[in-house]
Amino acid sequence: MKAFTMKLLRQFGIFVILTACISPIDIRINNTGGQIIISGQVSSIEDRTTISIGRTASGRLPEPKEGAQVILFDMYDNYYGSFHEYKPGEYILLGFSGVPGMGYKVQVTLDDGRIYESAIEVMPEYAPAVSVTHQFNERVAADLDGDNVSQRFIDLFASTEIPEEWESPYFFWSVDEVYLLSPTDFPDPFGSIPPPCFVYQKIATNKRALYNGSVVNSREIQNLLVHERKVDRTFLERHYLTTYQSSITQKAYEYWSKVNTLAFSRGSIFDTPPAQVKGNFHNIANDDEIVWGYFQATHETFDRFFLLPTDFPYTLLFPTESCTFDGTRWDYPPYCLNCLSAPNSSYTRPDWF
Amino acid sequence: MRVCIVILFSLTFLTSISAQQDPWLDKQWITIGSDSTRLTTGNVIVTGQVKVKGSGEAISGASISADGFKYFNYSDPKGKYILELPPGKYKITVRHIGMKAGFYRWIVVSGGVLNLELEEGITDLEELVVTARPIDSNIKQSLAGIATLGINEIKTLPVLMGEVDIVKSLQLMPGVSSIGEAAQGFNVRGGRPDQNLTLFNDAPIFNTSHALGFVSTFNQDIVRDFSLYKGSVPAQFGGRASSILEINANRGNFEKWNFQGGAGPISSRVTIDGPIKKNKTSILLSGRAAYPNWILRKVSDPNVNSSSASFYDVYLSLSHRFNSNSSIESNFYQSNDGFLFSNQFGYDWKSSLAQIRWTGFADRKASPNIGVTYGEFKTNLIDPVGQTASQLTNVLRYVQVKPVINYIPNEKHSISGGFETMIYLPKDEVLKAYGDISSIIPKRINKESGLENSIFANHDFEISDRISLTTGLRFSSYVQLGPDSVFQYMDGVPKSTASITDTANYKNFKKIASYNGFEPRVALRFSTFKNQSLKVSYNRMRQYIHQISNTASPTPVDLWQVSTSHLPPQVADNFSAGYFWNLKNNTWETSIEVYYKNLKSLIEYKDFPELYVNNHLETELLTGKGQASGIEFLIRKIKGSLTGWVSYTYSQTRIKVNSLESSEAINNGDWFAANYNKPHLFNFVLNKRMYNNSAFSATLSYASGRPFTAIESSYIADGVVVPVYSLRNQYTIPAYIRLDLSLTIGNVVRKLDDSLSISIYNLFGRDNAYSVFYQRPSSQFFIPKPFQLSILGAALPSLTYNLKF
Repeated sequence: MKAFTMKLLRQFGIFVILTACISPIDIRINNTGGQIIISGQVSSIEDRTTISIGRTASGRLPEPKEGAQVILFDMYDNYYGSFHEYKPGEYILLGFSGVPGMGYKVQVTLDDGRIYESAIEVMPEYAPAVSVTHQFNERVAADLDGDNVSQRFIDLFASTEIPEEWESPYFFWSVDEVYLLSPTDFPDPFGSIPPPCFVYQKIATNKRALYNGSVVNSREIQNLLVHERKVDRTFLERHYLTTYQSSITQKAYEYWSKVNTLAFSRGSIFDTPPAQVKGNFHNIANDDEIVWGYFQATHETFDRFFLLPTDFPYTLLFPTESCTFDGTRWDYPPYCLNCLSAPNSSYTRPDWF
Repeated sequence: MRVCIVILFSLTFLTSISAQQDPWLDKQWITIGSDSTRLTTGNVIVTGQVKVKGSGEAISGASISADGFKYFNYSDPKGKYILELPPGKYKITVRHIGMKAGFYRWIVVSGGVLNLELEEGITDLEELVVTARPIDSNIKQSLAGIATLGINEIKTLPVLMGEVDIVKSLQLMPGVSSIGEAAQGFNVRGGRPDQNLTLFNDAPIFNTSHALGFVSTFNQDIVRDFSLYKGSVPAQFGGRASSILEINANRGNFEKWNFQGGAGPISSRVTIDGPIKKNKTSILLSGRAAYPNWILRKVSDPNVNSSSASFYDVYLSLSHRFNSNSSIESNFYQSNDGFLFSNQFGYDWKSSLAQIRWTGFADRKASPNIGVTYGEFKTNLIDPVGQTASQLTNVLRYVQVKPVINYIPNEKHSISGGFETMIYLPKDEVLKAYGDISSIIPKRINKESGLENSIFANHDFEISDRISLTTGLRFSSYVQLGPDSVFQYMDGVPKSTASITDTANYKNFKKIASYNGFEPRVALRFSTFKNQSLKVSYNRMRQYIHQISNTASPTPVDLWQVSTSHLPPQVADNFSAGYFWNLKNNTWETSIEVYYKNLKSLIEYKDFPELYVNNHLETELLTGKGQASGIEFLIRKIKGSLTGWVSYTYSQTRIKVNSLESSEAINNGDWFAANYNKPHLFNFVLNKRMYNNSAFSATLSYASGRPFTAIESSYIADGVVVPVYSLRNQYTIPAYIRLDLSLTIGNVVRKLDDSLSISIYNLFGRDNAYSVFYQRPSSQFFIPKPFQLSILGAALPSLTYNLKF
């Protein structure tokens, strides 16, 4: 029923639509931040066991917490190694893949000596294969000024079959992207072509696609919309979308369900009153300290496909954002001049690209 | 500035129209009594009944005055009056709101009986008294904190969507507020909407709003009178912790057929009434329907133009007089709302009441009556999309039996007593698949039944001219009845599915849990000087049924849940005191009232509760305590062609909820503001009656912003932006200001009793914040930004044509 309530939130009533207006407002926030955030997962797929550590900051993104020691244990307190900090506040356990049915927890020691520990999460036994299809859709949606604007999307749909013996499956889906970014090839006497970059990104969303198998009696999921990707200039070159289907625990489902509830808030009478979404970390020396974030054990499968501009049923036109030299302009965005300036870009080509 | 000039001009123009003549001039002298019973000394008693001309309906609270206010009294609830005066000649005036004043010339020889009749309509301009109660009753009655407005008075107030609205009009009185335009119900002196008992013909009704709170469910044409008891509450009323809204409906005319109706762009209404058998049996049939779909079709948004909305309400009343001492009436009332948003979701809710009431009149001192009511409140929520498409249905059924006897032995005493039985028999909550592709698992959850019994007695005692006392005692008991499976939980830990230790099963009508308690009611008036009085009162109220809501404000489709072994009744102790002072021959009423309310077993919700199809609802709820206090100022002009009032309320409402587990305690177990807490409320109401039943009205409302829970920071976890919210209700939205105007033009068509109402709601089109929510402006922004939602972001004009014949 929560899904139903959330639908109400999203479409909160005809009278509101006819006469309501939405406008930005300034709220003076009293809290200066500084609370610890730890989130991440242990995955059944190698090199996807990661932890992010940060500190809340009022009105802006969290500050990454560097120099922490992150250790993975199983439910029997067996030690699985220390995570590597591959960029500020981001930690990865290389070469590790979790075992379905095993319980895991992480322990985080900050540089100031505070120690945090997660609850034990048991990796689900099952992870059925996922198949993903896509559609090009165009939708009219009101923007924040109340104007109806046509927007183009690539909608991803997941299908999977659930084993009969699995009574209460819980899933979520997430999408990783990698696209090619070729810098502008300006005419020069030497004919040198700068190397292209591969940009790894995960588009931040307010909510994630969730599935609660305990409320339905079907053993298959057919064409469930799991991601809506707005079409932008990143599709001007080859663009891979990898959809991960994660089997998660009931507790993890409840955590993400609460996050989704907040994402649907539109201020109407049908809104679920917002509240703090508490995770499963705690300070081992101080139970009263609030620690944000969730640690989950996910049994994952994935499906991957790529798109080229010619796959689209329309011509992609982003004249001011494109890096292609057309001889008519000389002002190009910074990522066209140096593709490494794009966030999360690298010269490293993925094996499968 | 231009608007101000227009208003001032209008007032100047309007006040210049009035005229008056001696209304007794053309009245014949009526002789009362006979010489054979003439007294040589002392007073005689003239008695009789005040009735509506035509319908013969008794008029309660009519004022009967002789020679100004030299001899004066009111009619009792059955219309009976007693006037004690020496033999002689008198000019008699009889008044009641919504009635033309009656003028008589009496020659009183000795005691006798004379029935008086009043005609429906508007009284003369300068003599107009706009309250729905006797003049100076605010001074003379011991009960304080009663908000009364005449139905004719609110008909001239500015309206939204062309519909006169009782509930919205009450919100212009001190101490009454709501969360906002689209809010269901209203808040009285720091109480929640479910803590107000709405009685329609003395039967409880669980929904007072159409169209998400934009329109009240009570059609103006059927409402005879209404009162809101927000301070002192007589003992015959109970079952809610905060206030009682009593609405009485009209009966059909016993002598002639009448028609009245109104048409507007969104809704229309029609009422017809008259005698089936003259002076014996009458009928009243009234209906109202909304048809906003033609407007929706014109909206370009495909989601909106494929949506539909509608509501209707109907009222049927049959009355029969057996004789002058006995009558019976049967009433049927139903209101229904339906709403479908494109093909994405829908909901509907329906209230139904069927009632039989008998009223007796044993002698002129005692009048018994009994009402039997069957009521039903049904809600449906429909999610028509996808694999989880579903329909959720809840039905609350109830039966009420309430015999009461009123006894007025003499002018000093008025006694009433009786009992009330209310049985709640909700149907199972049912979740079922909707459509062909849904694979949702159907669920059926037993909803608890309950039996509430109360016995009560109330005594009004006018100890002296200066002191009067109202004492009442109500004893209420409640039993939760089977069938039910009741979970037992471990002691010392919070209730959760993990702490269930056992299940006890109970059969039909088996007692599961019980609660009971006394509810004393005391109100004392002390008249300090002429036209001034000091009043103090205390009430205890117990509430055994609760509205369970997990939304920002109550919605029409929220659950109603009776008390269970895990959900104790809410108990409120209400203290109030006030000083009342009428000026200029009761033309002006002023008052200062203070109140304090202490609430126990207040229901609060854990974060993100699961309230639907949940057979262990108690695991989602917490009980706490609440405190509300405030001071209210009112200056009101009730006589003359120019009437209105200014009111100001300062109040605070706080809640404290602890739990066995500290992480479950709300806001760490500290006091926090209720989400409807609006410390400052200011209302200005002006009403200028004009020639030919025309009127001009203006209302100005100010309320300080209500609390909300804000995002203080955010983080990204696996690509998902996770907001970090503050503790509950730590911030406030901006203040609310609204100016409304209306002009009612009477006698639009000559020879017709008609009127045209033109209203502009929110004249300045102010974007009053209803709520604050958060959104990421685009995918490029990680941090959600605050936005305010204004339900009415524009001036809303409306035009309604009313006809009566």
